[in-house]
Amino acid sequence: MGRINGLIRTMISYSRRLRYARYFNSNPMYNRALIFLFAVISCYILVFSASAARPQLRFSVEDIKSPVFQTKSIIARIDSGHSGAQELTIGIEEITVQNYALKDIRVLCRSFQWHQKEIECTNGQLIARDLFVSPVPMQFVATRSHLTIDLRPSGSERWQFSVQWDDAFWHVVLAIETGKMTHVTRWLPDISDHENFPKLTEGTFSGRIQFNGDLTGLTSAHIDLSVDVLAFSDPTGMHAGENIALSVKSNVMRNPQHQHWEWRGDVLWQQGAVFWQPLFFSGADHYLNVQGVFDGKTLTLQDSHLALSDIGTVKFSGVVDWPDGMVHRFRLDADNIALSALSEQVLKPFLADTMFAELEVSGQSDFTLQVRDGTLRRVKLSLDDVNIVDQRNRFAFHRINAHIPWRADNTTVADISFLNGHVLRIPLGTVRVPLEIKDSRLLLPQLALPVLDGILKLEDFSAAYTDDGWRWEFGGELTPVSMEALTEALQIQPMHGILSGYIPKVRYDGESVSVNGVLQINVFDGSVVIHQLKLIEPMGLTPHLTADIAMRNLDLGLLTSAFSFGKVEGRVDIDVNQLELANWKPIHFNARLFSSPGSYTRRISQAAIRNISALGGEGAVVAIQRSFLRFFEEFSYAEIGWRCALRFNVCYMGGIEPEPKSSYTLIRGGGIPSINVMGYNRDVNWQELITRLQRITQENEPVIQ
Amino acid sequence: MVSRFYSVLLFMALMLAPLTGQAQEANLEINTPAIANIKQSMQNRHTQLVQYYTSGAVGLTQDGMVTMRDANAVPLAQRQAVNTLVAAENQDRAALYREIARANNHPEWESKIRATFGQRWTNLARPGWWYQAGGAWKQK
Amino acid sequence: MMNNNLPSNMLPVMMGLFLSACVTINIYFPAAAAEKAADKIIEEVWQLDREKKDE
Repeated sequence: MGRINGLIRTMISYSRRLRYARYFNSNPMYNRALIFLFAVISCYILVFSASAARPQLRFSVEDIKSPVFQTKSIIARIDSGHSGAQELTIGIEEITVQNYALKDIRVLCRSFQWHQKEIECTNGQLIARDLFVSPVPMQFVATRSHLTIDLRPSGSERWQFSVQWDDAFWHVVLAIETGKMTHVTRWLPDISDHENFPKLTEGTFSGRIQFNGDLTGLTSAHIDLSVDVLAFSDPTGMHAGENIALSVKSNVMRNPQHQHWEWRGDVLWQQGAVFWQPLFFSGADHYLNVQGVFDGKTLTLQDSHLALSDIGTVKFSGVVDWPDGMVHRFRLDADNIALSALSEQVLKPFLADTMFAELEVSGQSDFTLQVRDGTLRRVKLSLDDVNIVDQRNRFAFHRINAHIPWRADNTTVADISFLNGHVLRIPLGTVRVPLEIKDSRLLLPQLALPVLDGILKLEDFSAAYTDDGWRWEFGGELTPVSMEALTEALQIQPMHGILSGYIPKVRYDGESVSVNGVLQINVFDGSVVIHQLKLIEPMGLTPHLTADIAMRNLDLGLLTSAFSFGKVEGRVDIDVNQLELANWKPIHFNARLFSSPGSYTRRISQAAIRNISALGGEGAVVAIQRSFLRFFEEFSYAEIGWRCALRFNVCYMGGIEPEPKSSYTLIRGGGIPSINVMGYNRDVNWQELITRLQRITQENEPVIQ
Repeated sequence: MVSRFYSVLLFMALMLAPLTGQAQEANLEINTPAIANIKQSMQNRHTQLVQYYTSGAVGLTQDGMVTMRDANAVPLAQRQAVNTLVAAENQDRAALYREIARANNHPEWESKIRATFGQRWTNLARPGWWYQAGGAWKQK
Repeated sequence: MMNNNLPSNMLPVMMGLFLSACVTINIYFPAAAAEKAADKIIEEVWQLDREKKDE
């Protein structure tokens, strides 16, 4: 009778707890603690009630329903064994916690003892096919205020679950030794069921999880776990991790005075590798610390930080509304970030298919970001002695120092400078830029950029970031740059003269840079004017350049000696229209070279004539070697003319006359001794022509005068 | 007489116009410096990519590109490198199709050239390589 | 009269033919040539010739 009273008492205490469960149902934290508690209590009921009769006793409970868990059909049975020892069998048809169901759970105790105040099962087995493939050896000890369940699934794996309670407090402790994480994956949130979400494939954890509470619910929770050989992967392997070792520590405490929870979490990444397309994250000793306060309405993050070894430390704090996730306030500060590691590990993978794919960055950076009421309010980026070098050698900037503030709805002025650099091999000198920033627009009223020995003066530079990327434009002027320096920088044939230009407008439309205006080059005592200059995808794999070029009054003497072609005296005009370069090599043009009008000495050396005929190949016949003409070093000419239309790698040639005929005149003689040079070969492979030209000009060292 | 003269000219133009079209059909221009450059870059990369075609990690898509098909066939530490190889290859392939169209003075052919290549890469793929056909992966 | 009239009547017709000829050239895509070009490039990039020799 007394036992039945005990049972009733226990039932009462159970129903009291059930009320608490309803009361705290909105908070999952309470629920989880209570799940354990109910599991414990139900065992307790069964075991003690079962002791009401012997030798055989059977006790059954149809259903238990609570807001957090449900059970179906619990049957407990105690039998007298052969040797007088007692056997306990408990069968539970189904336990449902939240949306997860465990079916057909059985506990068998072959060595079972119960005394006045204690029940002990020292040699039991737990059969739960949903959790463990084979029966798991188990022990349990239960008293009126304490229960310990000890599971040893295999080898060193051990799960020890213990609960202690009295009238005022309760404690739940789960101690795990090399527990397999796959046992708990089914309890992870729903997303793990999504087909493409990474699934845990391996991993063990050791440590303790502890919940403490009183009659009002949970008061504190402590987690101290070390995770080992963790591995996960999605079906395609694009999001996967291997051999991860972590230690996780977390404390959550209820502060009854302030009616809030104080929480803290520390994660130390000891080793492992993660590929989360396109990022690859590995290394050791990365550390995350988050801490703050939760009051049911807002989640406050205080003095938290993420320390990535090699990269640096990021501090952050903020306030987030709960549960809608609105960021009320957030601040992030990163000081002395090592840019080489950051760009290598974080930035580069995202730039893989852009012109910045092969960027090498070094130096340090500070970064600050502030969010208020869900919108980005302030960003500040500082660069300290940063070098940016393109591995394809298209551009480089050295010793960049910058202080770039940005504020929403406000104009700020950034201070950017670099010591030197180059773009497409053209060297740039020291520059300091006061750049105005307003939202996604950049403005720069004036800038003098040293280019070689001249200066590129930029005026009204403006850039804007649009949905299709960056757009920019500027006007300007290029003060004289010496052609010696330029040709040396570009590693092309050395030339004399100066390059200068006036540029009303240069515009980049996201694909090409077009120069609206003229570039003027004074070279070989003549002038070169470039119109309609356009650079298509200048930083792409295959930059294209289109332009029309008009050269006037070039001194042939200077020109031929620069290219060591054999001396020719006189002056020429050259028109190159519809020029198109792909990858800086010509693929299309209409070129015409002709003697400039006017009066000047017109003489050509025998060497030059030989070279011209060699250029024409076998077809261009000048039989000077065999004729009397070989006795003369120089000849007079009246006119020189050459045309070439480059189409599909073939140069369609012509001479002085515009009309195409079977032969054409390259040099028309005049004076004494005079010579005519005729061409017969109308179509020459461009590559072949260039090869011949190179052979001729390389026979002698170039002469610079 | 004058009108007859013009009609003769026009007639000649008429005769010549299809001829220039015919002349282009014989061959597509692919010998430009830009194309040579891209080809060289792709050829160099192929020595690295070929093992991933064979292992099935990388497959050929219908639109003349390549894609990571089964990253599990690549050790974790190398996946990012293969991912980068795939991105670089696709960048080159896109540039190749664009350059061929440009070299033939028909930028608007780009998509057709890409489609043609998509088919030919698959046709010439080595046995064991994977390719996409009608949205599904198939093996040669 | 006949001699002079015929060509002037023919002119618009010929203009039309001429224009249509232009248009067909513009939209005409040389599929066979493209395949040939593609094969040539693919063989080079994948070095199929060398593989054949190796086999």
